Amino acid sequence: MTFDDQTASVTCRRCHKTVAANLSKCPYCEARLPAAFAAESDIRAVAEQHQADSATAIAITRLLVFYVLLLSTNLLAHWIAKGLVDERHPDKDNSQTVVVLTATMELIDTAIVLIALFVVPWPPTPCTLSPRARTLGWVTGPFILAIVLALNFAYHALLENYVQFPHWAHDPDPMPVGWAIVLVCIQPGIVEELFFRFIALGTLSRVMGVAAAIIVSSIMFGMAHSAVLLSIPILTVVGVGLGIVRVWSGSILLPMLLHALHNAVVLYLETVK
Amino acid sequence: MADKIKFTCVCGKIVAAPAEYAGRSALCPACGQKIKIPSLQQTATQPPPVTAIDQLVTTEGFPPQPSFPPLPSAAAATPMVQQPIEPEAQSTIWDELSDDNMPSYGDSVGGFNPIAPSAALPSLAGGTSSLAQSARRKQLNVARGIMFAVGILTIVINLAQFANVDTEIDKQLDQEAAKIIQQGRMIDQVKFAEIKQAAKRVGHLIMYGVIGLGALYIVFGLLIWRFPVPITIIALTIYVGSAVVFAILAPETLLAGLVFKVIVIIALVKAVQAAIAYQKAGAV
Repeated sequence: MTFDDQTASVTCRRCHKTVAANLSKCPYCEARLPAAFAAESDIRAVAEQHQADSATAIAITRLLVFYVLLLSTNLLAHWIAKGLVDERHPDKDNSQTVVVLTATMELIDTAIVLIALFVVPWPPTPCTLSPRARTLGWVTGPFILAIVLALNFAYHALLENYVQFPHWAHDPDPMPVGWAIVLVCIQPGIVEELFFRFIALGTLSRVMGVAAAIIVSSIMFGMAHSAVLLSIPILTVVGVGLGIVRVWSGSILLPMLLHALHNAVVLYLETVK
Repeated sequence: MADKIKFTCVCGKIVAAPAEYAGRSALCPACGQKIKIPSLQQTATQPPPVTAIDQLVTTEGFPPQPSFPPLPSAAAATPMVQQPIEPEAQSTIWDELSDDNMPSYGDSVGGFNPIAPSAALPSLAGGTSSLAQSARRKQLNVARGIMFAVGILTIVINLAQFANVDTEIDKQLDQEAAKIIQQGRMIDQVKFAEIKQAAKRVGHLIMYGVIGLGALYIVFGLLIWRFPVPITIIALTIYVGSAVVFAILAPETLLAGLVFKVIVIIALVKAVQAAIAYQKAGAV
């Protein structure tokens, strides 16, 4: 569509600024311009648009349904764990029970995410960067992880300083190291990244900007860790870091690696402490 | 039709204007908004909006279009002059061009509702004045009201309960201690006091967090028109997530105020759908 220079302007009906007539959206306020409506006067185009809109709405609805399912599993796992803790004897080693319960719940989580991969329409990659820029994303990934880890430790240090929770009262039933690596580092690294950075971030970026999609998916990620209530704010920040890595690298593999590494560092330092 | 410029107004109405008026602005006969009449070159380089209905329509058989009064010579000599048409001329122009003189879809397809495609499909075209948009706005307003209500209630209730947090924690921990003593085990009173203090501080933190959440809901309500989709999704996510968090802390809270919770969740889900459609329709 070409326009004569002299007449190539329209007044935006919302912000009343004069803009190029061949634009479909106002660059100032993003309101639709006549060019967009002219294009939509084709019924077929409108119908196709409607179909695409419906697909987006369906994708978002399914995403939210699966998110609620994950939250429900979380709640169930916590209730069962609490029930078992109440019944178990304090002097007995209960690490076996903890492993079985955690493994079962994470298997259920994995199943939910795998089903979501088939049910929620495959999202587009929320990355429009060139291959060279994506390489830069891979390079900056470890730095983002370092920042996120530093923030995480600073937050928890402040928290512990305020709460002053007695050290002797920490979890008496730690998991065996092998199981902890699988259930705390590898499984969440893969499954949570598939859900929050691949499905959620991709699906949300269909209806909002990438930055907003990163924030919303990170809040979902943070709220999904309801069992560690006081860590929700910092986990949301961790989610933002991993979301940025996902968008910059264009790959889901890097956030998976960094997530697993993040959890491994946290686990190691907690064990040492 | 060489002497006419046919184009689509922002409201979706297809209108036509004499070529002499190219580049000038006039009020749309359908929506009354000021619109600029494109030049002939624009309409020539830009394919006319061909619709499925257009394909069924033959232009033959329509009554001859009336000729338009000549423009003043100065305007005719400079058709691209960016000046509005005189108010009194506005009605003359559109009166002569508008629906009565335009071949309507209804006439051509025999009884078909004589309205433009975009008006016939308000939910698809989604103009700002459409009924669908109005319904979506209403839905978003409901969500906004709910966000304010949830925010204010959360702040008020938690501020009222703040004074009782310590007493409640003491009561619960004493009950736990009594259970342990009943089992024949001993309790180290120093350690018990340490635990109590830490639990109280955690309780305070949670209260601060919940009050902050209430304030956040008020902010969401204020921002909903600016970022409808992200705000509605975040509000829904946090609301459901908070219900789970409280159910973990105290399972009985899951059923407390269940009807209210269900209403809020349904309203927020509908708001998410409305926000997506509203944003897609381009009125944001």
